[in-house]
Amino acid sequence: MNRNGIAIVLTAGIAALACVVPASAQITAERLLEAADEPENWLTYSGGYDSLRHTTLSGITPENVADLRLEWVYQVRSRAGAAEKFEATPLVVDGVMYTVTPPNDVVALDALTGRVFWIYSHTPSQDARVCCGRVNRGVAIHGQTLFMGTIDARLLAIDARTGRLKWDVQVGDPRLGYALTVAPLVVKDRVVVGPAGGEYGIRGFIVAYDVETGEEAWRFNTVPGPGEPGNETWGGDESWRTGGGSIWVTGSYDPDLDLMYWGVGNPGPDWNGDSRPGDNLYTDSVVALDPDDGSLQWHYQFTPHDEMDYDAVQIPVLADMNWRGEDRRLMLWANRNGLLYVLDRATGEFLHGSPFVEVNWMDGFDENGRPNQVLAPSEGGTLIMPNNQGATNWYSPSYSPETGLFYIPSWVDTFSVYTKRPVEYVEGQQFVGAFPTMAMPALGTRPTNVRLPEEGYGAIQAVDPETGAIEWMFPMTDVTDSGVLSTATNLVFAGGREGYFYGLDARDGTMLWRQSLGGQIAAGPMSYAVNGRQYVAIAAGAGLFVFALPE
Amino acid sequence: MRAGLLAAAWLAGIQAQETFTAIELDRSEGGALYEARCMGCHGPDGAYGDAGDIAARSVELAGDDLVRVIIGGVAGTAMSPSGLTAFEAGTVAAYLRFVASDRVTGGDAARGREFVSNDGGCLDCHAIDGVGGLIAPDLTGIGSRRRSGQLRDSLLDPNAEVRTEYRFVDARLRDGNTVRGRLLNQDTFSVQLLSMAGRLTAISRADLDALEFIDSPMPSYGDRLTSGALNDVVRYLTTLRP
Repeated sequence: MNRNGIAIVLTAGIAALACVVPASAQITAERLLEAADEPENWLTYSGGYDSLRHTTLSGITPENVADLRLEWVYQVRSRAGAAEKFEATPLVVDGVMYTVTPPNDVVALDALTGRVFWIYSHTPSQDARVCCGRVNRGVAIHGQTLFMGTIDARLLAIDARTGRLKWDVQVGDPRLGYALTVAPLVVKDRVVVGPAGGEYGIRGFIVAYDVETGEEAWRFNTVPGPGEPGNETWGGDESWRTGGGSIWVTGSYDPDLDLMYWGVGNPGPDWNGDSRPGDNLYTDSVVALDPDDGSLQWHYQFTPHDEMDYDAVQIPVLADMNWRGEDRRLMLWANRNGLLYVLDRATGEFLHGSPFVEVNWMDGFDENGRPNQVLAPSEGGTLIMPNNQGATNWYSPSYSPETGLFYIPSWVDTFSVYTKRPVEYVEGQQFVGAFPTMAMPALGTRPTNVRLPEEGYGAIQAVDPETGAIEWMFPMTDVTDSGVLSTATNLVFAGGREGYFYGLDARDGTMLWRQSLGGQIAAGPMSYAVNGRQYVAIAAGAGLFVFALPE
Repeated sequence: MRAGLLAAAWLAGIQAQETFTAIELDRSEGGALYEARCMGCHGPDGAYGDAGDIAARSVELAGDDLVRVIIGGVAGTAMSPSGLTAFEAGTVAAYLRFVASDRVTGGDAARGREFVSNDGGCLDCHAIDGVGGLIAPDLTGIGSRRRSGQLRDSLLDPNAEVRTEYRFVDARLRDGNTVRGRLLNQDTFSVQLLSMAGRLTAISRADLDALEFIDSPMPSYGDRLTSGALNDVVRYLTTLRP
């Protein structure tokens, strides 16, 4: 008997059986919209279009989480060093798990046992250029097709049953620094991606392709050209041509408003804005697009004319709640620049902004939510908080409707000294300026930690989105690149660079369970169920670890 | 619980601004480039080998000429073009001039060796060629890694420059004992160190009252050495090459 209980009888002549595809195996647009109705599956990078990274499975609770034990491990086949972090969140569809091991291997596993069905291995071209490791954050699925971006800037469509390539398109030129590391987003019958490469003077965009054919449907330029609204915010000598505006974390979608939201990366060159006077839209912004034609409906810019590399490449978290007395459709955003934002996701209206770590580059907002900047890089060097890697970054926060708290994986008390140096654009090379100082390594490459406490530390912080107050903090000695998963049973799962994976009480941050996994956790946890039994999965070091309660 | 903390901190006006002079930055950038690209042949004081004393000559050469040499190399010698940009070469030039101004001259290496090996007590903590203590930085070949000015500074003020892998801590245990040693590693639940007695020691934070970073246990030699004797010790250390 296979997973779906269909007996496969090996008798000659019963050829029709092989062509029967169980209806449950098709991931239709409807199933993606109603993903919350099947919590045993994890159908998108963030678990659902609202990107709460929250599971309503109820098997694992604060009372029994201490009994969690390791069920299986899948170890990556390619070398996964510190610069090839295992960043993918797996999908689970009806007992089959799909994930990507670095740099670009798609693997289909039995979610029950971790055994391999098939592997599709893409060998990136030597032309591929990356700033921060040959990483990939996962696949998307539609119908029977998986979609993966590659570090040599291709988008691949792969048959989910056989691992065979169906189509592929070249999205950008890798020799100019364009790469794909984002887990794609499927909305209706389009698969949507954007390029990484903000350190290479790319000109960013969000692009949608037809899921069946790979034909380009529309493109939105995150750095507008002449004639496009926002181009007037790029002064200097055609600075928009190398303006950055990368895309490298999966967006969100509100089907009622029919709006798709994406966070946009930093302007180029990173650490010297003299050649690009102006606000540099839409870098460091959230853009709300019509998914049918990619047209811009609204935008909000978190860090205008950024010279601190504060990419707004975070997950847009779409939470509905009674907020200061009114039922509202909100967007919660914990930004790399150290500020927590609450926006109205229908209009982009700025509702609230407050720091969730120490911030010194700005000292307040005007009534439209524009930050008042007080510090910037200088020739002599300026100490700015938070540091260049940010108070948080691409890894996923979580919102729990049960506790009403927003959980932010944070780097606390960090700083960088930013120095302004001259920069020149050379095709295919980094276009950044002088690297700011960092007390802690950006990519977690050292095996030992001898840092002083005042150099910063990591924490999971639980923030009240109504007030911005930090309700509790779970500190860690080293920083974290881990996402957070919250559960309806009031647990929070998260980890950090030390390789500990934690189960915390979502209400007060008490540590209820921990497991040492021996390698940095730089991915988001997720949860799924098979045959009614709940599992929690997390990538750590060079392995994917799956936990469950004893049967 | 911590509601209002953020607002209070914000209102307190956090403005931890530090500015570094351009010269200090150039020196440190130039120093890093010099260490990586030049020190292997020219030595930490710029005085090794066939090239002779390049630090002294850097003071004599006009700025542009020096930068040109750093970028383009010297035809007919082992110094090939460096590939540095004009800006980078400028920082190296600034660094060389600083080295020239900060060097220790004179000193008798044999007298210095006598002090280090016996009365100085140095080998209680440091080792040279396999002889000595484990807890402090190994001084084997130190002359090829540190400028004479740095060696002098460390003898007078051991806390002036402490590399991150040589930080010392006092681990105060709940049972009243204190373990002092060099910090090797730490995480949220445990601390690993090399004790003063040279033993690898792991401590659970559950047993730890406090972990305090302390000043270097090395005493200053400012009072124990005349300036002449100090030069002797520095001279001896600069002769230590692998």
